[in-house]
Amino acid sequence: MIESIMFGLTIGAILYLVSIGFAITFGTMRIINFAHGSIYALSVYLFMMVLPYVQNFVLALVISVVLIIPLSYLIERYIIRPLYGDAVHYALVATYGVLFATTDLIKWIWGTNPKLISVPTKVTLQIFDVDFPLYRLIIIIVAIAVFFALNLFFRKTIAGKVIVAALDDSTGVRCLGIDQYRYFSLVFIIGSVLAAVGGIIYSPIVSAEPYMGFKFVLLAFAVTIVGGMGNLTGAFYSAFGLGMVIAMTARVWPRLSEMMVFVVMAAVLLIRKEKDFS
Amino acid sequence: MLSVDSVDVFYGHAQALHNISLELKQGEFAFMVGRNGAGKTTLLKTICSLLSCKNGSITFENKDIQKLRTELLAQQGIRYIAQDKKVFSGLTVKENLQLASFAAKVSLTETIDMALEIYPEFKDLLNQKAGMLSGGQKEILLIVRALIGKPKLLLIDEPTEGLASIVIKDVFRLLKMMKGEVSAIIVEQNLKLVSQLADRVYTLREGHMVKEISNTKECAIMEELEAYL
Ligand SMILES: Nc1ncnc2c1ncn2[C@@H]1O[C@H](COP(=O)(O)OP(=O)(O)OP(=O)(O)O)[C@@H](O)[C@H]1O
Ligand SMILES: [Mg+2]
Repeated sequence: MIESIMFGLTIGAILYLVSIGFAITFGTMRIINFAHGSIYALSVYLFMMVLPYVQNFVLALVISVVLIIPLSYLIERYIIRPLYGDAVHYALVATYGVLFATTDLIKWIWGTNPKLISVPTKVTLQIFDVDFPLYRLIIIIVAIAVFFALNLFFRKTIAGKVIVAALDDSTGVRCLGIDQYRYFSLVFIIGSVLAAVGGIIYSPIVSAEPYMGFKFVLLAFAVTIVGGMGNLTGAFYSAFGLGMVIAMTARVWPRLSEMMVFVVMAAVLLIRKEKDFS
Repeated sequence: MLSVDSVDVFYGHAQALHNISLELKQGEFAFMVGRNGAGKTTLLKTICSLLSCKNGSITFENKDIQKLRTELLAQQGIRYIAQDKKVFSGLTVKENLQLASFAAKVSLTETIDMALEIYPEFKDLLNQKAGMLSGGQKEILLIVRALIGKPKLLLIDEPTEGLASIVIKDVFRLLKMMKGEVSAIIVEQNLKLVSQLADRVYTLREGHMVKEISNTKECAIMEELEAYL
């Protein structure tokens, strides 16, 4: 049981890192950005390519994340930004196209076989009489640290406040004369960086395969919906909550664990709709 | 200072404004009246570039502003205040003002002083989430926000809609105070208020401009206005 809880927390941490960028893009620009999955998957493959050269997990992570930034910028600048304000489905189709293209690119360069990445530290800790890998604890701590850092960013910096304001009323921000797109680009890149970090630190636990971008962007979508679209604190709780759902379902029916996430998402949507009507 | 000339505006294929013209001089308050769906909001949004027009032209201080983006127009002094009374509800009142001061490059202290001068009740509300304000306070906050950095033209969409009559007085007082300092086009259904402040009144009906009154005397006669609604 405790093992499952720890497992749930680990997945929750990853889900949070991966979802935050997706949630911000959705909340501010009303754009469902499937290309977020591209960033996630590509950064893991880049990481695998860089790691043998530098032989240092953290350094390879930093390098891969830095390499992914220009790609993230290009996606934002040339695919997402031209579609700001257009009907939701344009961006959906366009970013889905990017996800397809990068998935094929990955298959072409690296092949379709899953790739294993070894865990950087095999140390285990004793928590409540259970062996708990230090590496997973680090993941959880990273996610919580990111949560607090983002909170500071959104509460204390002008850029953060512009985003919070735009989540409420993006027209209002424009009518003050603030060029919100500059700030959107900034948080878009922050979101991509977090997804890359999430993808990379999760990769030793699972394995890398070309379709992982699809899987995770759908999970990020669920986290965003359950967290209350545009509610960034909600995304944190929802990520850990859904992480628990995955872990607990995995105890009983491992095959259905990820599907459960979408069952919960559907249930949340229905309940919320009931509430809206009453 | 502002001149809208023979403008047509469409939502997809549906035409919302037909051949609309409008004129505003420096310091004037123009009011726009008309039933629901007449196109008042559409016209304000077109002026501030939130919507684009098909034909015709819009010039401000003798410059064509049709192609300029909303953000840029706001920086040049044209600010739109939407009908929905949406403040940045996740931010405090002070932070709402801070963003306005940041955008207008005015210091925050100066901004807060100005806000308190206009509406002293904000003093105890500065650190409250703006979402907690009453409807009237939200509208006043929106207007104050738009006033930071000396704008030239305010486009205010139904500032008193849905407000209790005591609060309408506050908004009225604020508008009266602004009169002469800034030009404005104000959509307003409250004809009593219109008759007391208007230099011009434009009446829209189903996307057409059906009547323009451009002398203050006539604007002050409410029956005149009622006839066209
Ligand atoms: N986003 C939109 N898409 C399509 N049609 C729209 C849209 N917004 C408004 N319209 C239509 O354009 C016409 C003018 O609407 P507008 O909102 O400008 O009216 P209004 O005079 O401001 O009305 P109200 O008093 O209700 O605010 C209406 O027929 C409306 O249905
Ligand atoms: Mg309207």
